[in-house]
Amino acid sequence: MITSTSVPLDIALRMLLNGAKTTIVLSVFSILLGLLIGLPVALMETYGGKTLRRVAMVYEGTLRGIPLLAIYFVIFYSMPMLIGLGLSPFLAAVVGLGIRSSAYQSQIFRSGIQAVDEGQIEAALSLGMSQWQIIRHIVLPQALRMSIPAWMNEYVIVLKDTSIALALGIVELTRQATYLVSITAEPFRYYGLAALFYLAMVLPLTYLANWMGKRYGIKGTGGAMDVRL
Amino acid sequence: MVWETIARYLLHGLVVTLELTIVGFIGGFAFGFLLAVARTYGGRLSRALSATYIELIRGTPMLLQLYIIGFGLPLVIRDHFPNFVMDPTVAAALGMVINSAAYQAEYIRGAFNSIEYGQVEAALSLGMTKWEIIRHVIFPQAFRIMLPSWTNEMVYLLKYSSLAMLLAVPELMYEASVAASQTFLYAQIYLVVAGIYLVFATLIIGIMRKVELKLHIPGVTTIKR
Amino acid sequence: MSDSDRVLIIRNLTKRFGEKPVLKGISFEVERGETKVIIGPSGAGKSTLLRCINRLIEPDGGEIIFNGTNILERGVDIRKIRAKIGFVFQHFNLFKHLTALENVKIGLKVVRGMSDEEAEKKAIKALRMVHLEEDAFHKYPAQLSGGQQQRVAIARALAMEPEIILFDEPTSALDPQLAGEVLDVMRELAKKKVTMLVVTHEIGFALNAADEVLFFYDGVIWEKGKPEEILYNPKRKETREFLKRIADLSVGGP
Repeated sequence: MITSTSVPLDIALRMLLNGAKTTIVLSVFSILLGLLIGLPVALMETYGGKTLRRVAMVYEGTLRGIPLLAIYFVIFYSMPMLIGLGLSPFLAAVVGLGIRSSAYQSQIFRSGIQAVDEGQIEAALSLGMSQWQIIRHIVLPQALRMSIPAWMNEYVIVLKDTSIALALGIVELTRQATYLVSITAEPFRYYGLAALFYLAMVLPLTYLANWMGKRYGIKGTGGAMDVRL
Repeated sequence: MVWETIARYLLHGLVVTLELTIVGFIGGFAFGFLLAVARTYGGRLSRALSATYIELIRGTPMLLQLYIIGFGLPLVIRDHFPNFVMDPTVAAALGMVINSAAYQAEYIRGAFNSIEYGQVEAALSLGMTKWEIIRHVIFPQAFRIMLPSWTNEMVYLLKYSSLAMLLAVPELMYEASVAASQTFLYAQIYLVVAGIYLVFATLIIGIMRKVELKLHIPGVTTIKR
Repeated sequence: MSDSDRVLIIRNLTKRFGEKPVLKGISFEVERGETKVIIGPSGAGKSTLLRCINRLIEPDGGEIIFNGTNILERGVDIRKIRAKIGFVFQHFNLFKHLTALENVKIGLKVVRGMSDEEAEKKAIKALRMVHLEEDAFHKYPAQLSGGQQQRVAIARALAMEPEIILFDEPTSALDPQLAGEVLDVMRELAKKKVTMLVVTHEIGFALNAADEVLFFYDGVIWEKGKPEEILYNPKRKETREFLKRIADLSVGGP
């Protein structure tokens, strides 16, 4: 039986704000981890030999075909028992979201890399550059720039999916909102505020991503790909 | 022996998961289609309302939406109907439909917009009515163009149906956790469950790819290697 | 000349887009069996004029009398009218999800209500009239050359057995060689006395296929007359300037 207790608004707001802070911190760490892993995987998949490519594709395919919640449970419950590596809830949340994001980010970077005009690579080779020099000086700068809109889109997805970390006990925004609703029985107010927080973070980023998509994105894909898969 | 029981739990959960996925997808398409039409062909109010709805849903986490419907909504209804109890599975399905519709509306709109107006002009010049044009010119092309988005959406719903676990819906993830807490075989069970999702995701992608290949028309759809 | 000889009578047609007047009172007639060509600088409103005739665009004022009926009046069944007016577009506008044969059949089946066999017979006849290669019948537009696509578009219009066919710069999107095949087909149609109203830059076609040429510029028809008169002996300075510019651009003569 839910009893309706009133919580002073300033305390409630502070709780939500703390939740929002955790959401943002979690999202930033996760997206960066995703970048750290995703970029090398993209390079592996584009320039690697057959085995490397196969490994990258399996990595990508697996992480994209499993729910984040399942990834979390495997990391948090299965991993300690199987390989003795136990992670704190926060670390598990970051690692789980991070490696999942890395699978999508590697796709994004691959598209960016492939969008770099063949002719430039031929020109670079003709100058005598090595494969690695070409990647470093010609391909990556352009590929990364073209990937920005889609990458920002991915960040928005990561931001929203931080909510799933509450299953590991992380006190983020959605969890705070639900907690407040369960105490006060005022869903409109607290879910409404939580929704506003998310929108305030997501909408500007989405518009920015779309705008950048028009300027820097890959022509013909409309820039920011709203790919959910 | 123990695995027989576990398998039974998981099977029950799998059925619910698949039900949620299918209902979410079909409901999402139906509602999404209406949203797309309102967004493209509606009057100013319809366009504003549907656009707002879409932005709202796409700008907030699905989990939040599930909680609002599964937890928040019953609270509000209980103010007027004190004995109201909502079946969590229904709530989850509703939440998934509401979420999927917003995304599918955009896919549908994109497909409609990608058909050049010139073909509509040509159809009009032949004397076709608006409905004939939609039926014979727009729909066959839009349908094919949307297939990859559908694949996307189905796999997404399959994966995110797992969130229903947090509403105590007896889908795959939930049943897995129940089985795990009873057998303490956490490690293995969650790995198996991850594998099950992977299998079904791959199945969906494989089947849809066959469908895409079968319906492929050069100039209308592109086949990615 | 009785009215039934005049398929199309345009009287004082006007149209403006916002502040800008595009058609400032156009009047002319097209007789049955005639091939009339409209020339003039691009962007002057020639496409708008054609699209007004089958009411893809609604004109602001004037009369369009098609086969004795003013089609701008209320209560006119524009679909039935459109089925009798053929339209060939600059960018072909074939239905991308249908093969060449299906593109020609669809109007007959959906609008005319013909059975599949009837439609197929008429479609094949139309495709033969434009000399489309047999192995192209079952290809999709994306698999056909521009010239083939445009010929299919012409067949699609022909199959409906219209009273008049409107051509909106049919060869402007084609390179010269492919344009040639399309112009050849159009010349044949003109010889067969198909009633045609053609907007084009192809002076050569105007010279050997047109019965009358109209010079259209700045919303108004400045001159009309026999092709040789207009093209070799234009009376108005605007016509002369336009022709000079065209002559500079074109390689080789008519």
